[in-house]
Amino acid sequence: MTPEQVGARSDEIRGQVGRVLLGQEEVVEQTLVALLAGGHALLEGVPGLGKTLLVRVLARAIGCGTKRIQFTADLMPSDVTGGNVFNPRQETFDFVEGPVFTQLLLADEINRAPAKTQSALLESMQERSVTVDGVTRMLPRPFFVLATQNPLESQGTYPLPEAQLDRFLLKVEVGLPQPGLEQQIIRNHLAGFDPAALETAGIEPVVDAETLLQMQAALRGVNVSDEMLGYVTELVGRTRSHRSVLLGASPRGAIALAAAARARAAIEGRDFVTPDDVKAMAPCVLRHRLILEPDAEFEGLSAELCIRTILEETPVPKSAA
Amino acid sequence: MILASLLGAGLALASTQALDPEARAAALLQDDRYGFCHEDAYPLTADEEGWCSVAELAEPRCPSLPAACGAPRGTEQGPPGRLARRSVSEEPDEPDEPEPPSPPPSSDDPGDASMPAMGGVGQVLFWMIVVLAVVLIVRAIATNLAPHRRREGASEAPPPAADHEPAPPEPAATMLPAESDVDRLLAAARDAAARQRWNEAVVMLHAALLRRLDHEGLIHLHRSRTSGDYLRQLRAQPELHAPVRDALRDIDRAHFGGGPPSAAGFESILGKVRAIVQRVGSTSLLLLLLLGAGPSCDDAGPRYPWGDSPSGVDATIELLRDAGTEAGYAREPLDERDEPPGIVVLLQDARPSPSEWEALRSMVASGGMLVTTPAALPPWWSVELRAVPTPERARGLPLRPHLLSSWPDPEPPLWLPLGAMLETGKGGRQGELLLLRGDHPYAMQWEHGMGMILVLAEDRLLANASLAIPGHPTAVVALLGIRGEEVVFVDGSRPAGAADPAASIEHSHLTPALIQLLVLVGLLYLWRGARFGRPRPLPAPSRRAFVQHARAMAQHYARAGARDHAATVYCRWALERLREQSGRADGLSGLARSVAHRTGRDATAVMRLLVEAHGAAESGPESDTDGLRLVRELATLLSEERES
Repeated sequence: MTPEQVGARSDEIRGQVGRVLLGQEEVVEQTLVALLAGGHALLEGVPGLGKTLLVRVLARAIGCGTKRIQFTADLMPSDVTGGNVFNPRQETFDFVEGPVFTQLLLADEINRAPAKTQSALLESMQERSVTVDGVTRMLPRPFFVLATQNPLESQGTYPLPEAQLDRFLLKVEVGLPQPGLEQQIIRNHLAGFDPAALETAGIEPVVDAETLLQMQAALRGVNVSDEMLGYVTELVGRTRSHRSVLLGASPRGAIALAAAARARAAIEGRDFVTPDDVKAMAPCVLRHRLILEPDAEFEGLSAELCIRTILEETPVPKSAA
Repeated sequence: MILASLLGAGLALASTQALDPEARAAALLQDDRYGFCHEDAYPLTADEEGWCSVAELAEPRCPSLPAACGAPRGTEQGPPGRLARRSVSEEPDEPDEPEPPSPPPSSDDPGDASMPAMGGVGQVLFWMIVVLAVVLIVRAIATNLAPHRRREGASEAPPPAADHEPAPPEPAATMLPAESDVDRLLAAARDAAARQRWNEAVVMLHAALLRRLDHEGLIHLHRSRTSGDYLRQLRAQPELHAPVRDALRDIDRAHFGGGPPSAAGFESILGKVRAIVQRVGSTSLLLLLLLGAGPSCDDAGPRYPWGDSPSGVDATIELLRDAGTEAGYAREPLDERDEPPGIVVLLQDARPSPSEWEALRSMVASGGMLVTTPAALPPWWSVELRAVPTPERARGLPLRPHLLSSWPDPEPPLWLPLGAMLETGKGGRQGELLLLRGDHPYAMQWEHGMGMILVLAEDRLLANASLAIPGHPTAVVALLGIRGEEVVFVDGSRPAGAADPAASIEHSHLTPALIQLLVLVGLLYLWRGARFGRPRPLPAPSRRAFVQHARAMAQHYARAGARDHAATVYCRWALERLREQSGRADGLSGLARSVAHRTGRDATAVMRLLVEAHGAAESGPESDTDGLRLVRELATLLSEERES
């Protein structure tokens, strides 16, 4: 599969998702980037913006199996991974797969579960395998985790530790749709759109899991020039020396930025990465990897603002300016 | 006699031309610029008040002139004459005798723009600063240029290889051209392509495209901006968006696509870039033409501020232009013109410099014509003439032709306000009488060398207001337009124009100010760098005082409703601190005795406070009020303990 074909298939997926999810084109694109780059995405937004709907529609459009975990304070790790259950008939312990054994996992409100349960996802996200009682079981391929969290509520939540945040390729911020589109959304619902019955909305799988793997493999044909690698390392390096940043992005962040930029180029049907790709992906790749200085937080700065400053100060390769 | 014949023929010709000067003058004066014809409250100056005596004759063309005569008079400020700034006076001027005209300012008079004189030390300091700044700026520029020179030197192509030889390996074109001229960039791109340096050629094309868009204000170049950023800036230009997107996509492919661009790829990009550059360029050219159409169609050259007043001559110049004569103000000193004009008209307050008089002498000697008044007679001319007031006190006296045998029939009278007439002295009788005011000479002419000198008693005949009177436009065209040569009007001061920018700055005495401004710019450059002129957000202060952090932390606690928690933590810390300071690790009673001893407080009170603090540290204060009181009392105790 060529990058041009990847772009064409991506357009089909976006077209299917866009039929029911209005005004979130950028979110859809970033989520698709995470899928193609083989990463996981953390969707952050207030309730009611369609995060869950996005995941469900996406899962249907790409023809992958999907399961959902609603994270709560009393969720146990075995509720995620599954566990050995005694079979009284055969007097053996049989492994019962948890919801993580799927291709597209929706981890809803992931920050409502304690750290122990959250960390149960660590191995799954990184190694794409689950180890229970010393036995490692591989997860189906492809495997994506799309987690959601609400940025406002703090009571009864457990912020994700940095180590786990780093596992997410992207942190996608889901914003409010434009007022005009919001009217259209209301109109669709009044006309009978049922988010629980996507088949009635005419959402059809346009690719399957195998095609998705081929699309991921096609990314290797996208050229990332030395200038672009230099641009990526320059951006990441500047996060480490920024005056308001206590801890900048790690080399894993640089890898993630390059991978995300490459996936975006393929989605655009290009076989080469441009500075536009890097600039477009930098905020969602880096925003959850920066830890700000305490005084910067007191001053109301955010990682988003720091990244924007860095992007405005870093010269792009061959800028002609 | 020659001029008289010419005048007669000119009058006949002017009156029979298809473009009638009378009709044209009437049309010209309908322009709102000539406010004295359209504004009832137009502030006439004392000198222009004379036109009121013939306002009835001018009314068909200047309907507001009679009303303006009854309006409050304007007051003149600054230099007299046409350059005077006028304003409406609160009270009408008394119609007393006009004050004798003050000498007009010379062209060297700095006027309001003069700079304060600097003393010797000041001058030395000034020049030291200027020299230092120039050296620093030159050094900065040289520093900036040095990498480019090295780069250019490094990227200089080897001699063209033979056709069959492969092109030498091209270094990566990572550096960008400092050139900003689009045409030169395109030429450089073609040059690089001719040497098969495709990367460099594409870089040049990229720069040419972006520079052109930047020059047109369609985008704003910045080193951190990408092709996508520029395309977003072009969203408001849908006709440009698509071609620029295609071109930038090809350029990005050439830059980052992995392989070197090919000749065909370069040609494709070149075609797209050239089309955009020409399109944008032609658009701006069209815009320039549209913007410039007004001035070019109405190009009367530089104008005086009050050239459209009754005593100005803007309308006269336009009338002559309409009659096919090149006419305008003197843009530069007469002695600096490459070619002398055919006719020079010295208006009443003109004061040519000695070198200009010499130039006029040469002009007249070689066949030119000088039109002047007794106020500006050539120093090299031996004829004595004076302008004396006309004795009559009537409305006015018509001008009659004396030698103009072919004056149109019926003879048009020329009505001018009462003013001056000529009084001849030595050599004056040798002149030929052209026009009479009553029985007094008004216009005379003398032959001088191969040319002529025509002296008018005053220059009112040539003024804008004169054209409002029937017959005058025809006479003016006949007087000045008949020779078909360039007519240059010279006033008391040069109009707002100079031969070149440097001369303009020099005339306005702005050189010291500009030098100081350059020094300031240089200092700013050194201080803030090349981008000092661009607005950018102020950098946030990097650090805050500790007390601000503490206050912010307290506000966080307050917002979280954690007063009890804060009090508990503080009590715990205060007890530990007291133990550290007193060196007592035993129970509260020993600590209380020690603290009471050191601070001089009552041991029982200290014990009570410590017990309360201990209770709060273990299980929290009983209430918010207790917690706050405890914190304050412990803080005071800690302070006393520390001071002891």
